[in-house]
Amino acid sequence: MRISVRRTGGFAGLSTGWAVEVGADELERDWQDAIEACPWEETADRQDQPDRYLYDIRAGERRVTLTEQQVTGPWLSLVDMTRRAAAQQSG
Amino acid sequence: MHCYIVPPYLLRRIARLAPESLQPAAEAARRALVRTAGLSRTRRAKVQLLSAAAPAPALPGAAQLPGPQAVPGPAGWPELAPERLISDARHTGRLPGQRVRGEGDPAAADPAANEAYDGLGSTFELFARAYGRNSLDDAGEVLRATVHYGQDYDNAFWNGTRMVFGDGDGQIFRRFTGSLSVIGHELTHGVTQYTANLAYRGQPGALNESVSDVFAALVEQYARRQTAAEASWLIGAGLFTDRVNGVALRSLKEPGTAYDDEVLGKDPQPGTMAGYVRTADDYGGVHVNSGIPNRAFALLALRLGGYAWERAGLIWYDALIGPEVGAQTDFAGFARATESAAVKRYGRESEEHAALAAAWAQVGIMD
Repeated sequence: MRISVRRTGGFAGLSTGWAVEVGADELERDWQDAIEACPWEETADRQDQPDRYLYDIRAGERRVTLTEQQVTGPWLSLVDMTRRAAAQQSG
Repeated sequence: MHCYIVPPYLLRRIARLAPESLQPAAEAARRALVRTAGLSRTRRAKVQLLSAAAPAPALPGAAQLPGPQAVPGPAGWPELAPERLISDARHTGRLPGQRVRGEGDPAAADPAANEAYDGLGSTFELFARAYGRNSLDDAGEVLRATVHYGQDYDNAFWNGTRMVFGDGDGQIFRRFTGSLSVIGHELTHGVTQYTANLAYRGQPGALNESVSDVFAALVEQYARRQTAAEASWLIGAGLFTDRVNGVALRSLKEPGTAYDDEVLGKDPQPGTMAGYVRTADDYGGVHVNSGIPNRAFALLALRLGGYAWERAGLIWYDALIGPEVGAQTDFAGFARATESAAVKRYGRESEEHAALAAAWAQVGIMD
């Protein structure tokens, strides 16, 4: 499965992103709980704030776009996991 | 509490009087109108007064700069004064953080807190002296800022009540309080919120961004007493570290030329509608497509010459606070609003109206 995070916006308007490919074993062992902990189907009203980042988060077929303020709790954990894993895969 | 027996319409008439012999009365009327603004505020009344507002006073010891002749009159709206409050998030994501400097307090030990304090003051100065605006809400709202937000945070933002600054990562970005245009940009989001309240998505979002860039540039130019020809027209100059090949984040005068770097890529801003970018990123490319109205403003200001916060800035300000611009206004709608503003203030056959039409045509928005 491909897990990816794309961050756009911010005052500078620069884009960055992190992505990892994980096999079935690794998915079940390291990622499944973190992915399932995220409320993918909940589309809470969001408040757009100028110059905040915008996150596009994907895990396989699942996809959500969140404002920076919404990236908390399980979303923040998943983003941080993806960023760390991407750095390890590329390093 | 102040009570005034002279009705506002008469104060406005007196304030517009130009003969030298009547200047003291005109000045007193302007002051009275500022004080009564909170009692019977109408945006239109304030705008009418602005045609008599004076340009910025010269810097102490500075030579007289070229530019349009000063309109006879007092320094703009001397009664208006800022109320600033700086807090420190201490590298957390918690707001507002701990109070570190309030209005009139001596300088803090922290340079970021002092940069924020001074930058808030410079932004207040532009809006107060050039446009008679009393803070973000035109009613004296406290200007709030938080410094040292997050860890290695490469950003600054406006959260609806305060401006928030990161310190940068030290690799690509320096601290965001280091650039006056960043502070002017964020505070202008507050002015927009209280006026046109442009939605932060698509073309209205790009306009929201552009308005912040335009007045951020004017904040710097006003603070430095630079004419349009002398100004850099850059946003975020000095933010990049020496490792980055770039002078700033954006250029109003030449969108797409602010940086060209191996890691960051090239400045993606278009300067005409032919380069308009359709994307879901960044709320619909608000920081990219803002280059188009940004350039229209710079073209107008350069064509008119002199101080950009005067005629060009007034036209933009009139449009922003006027009835024609609202949450869903697009580029063409904003252009029409500036045209209305220029005609109303300077006349249909004026140099200003002609220069404005040429500027919008040059970026592909009006024929």
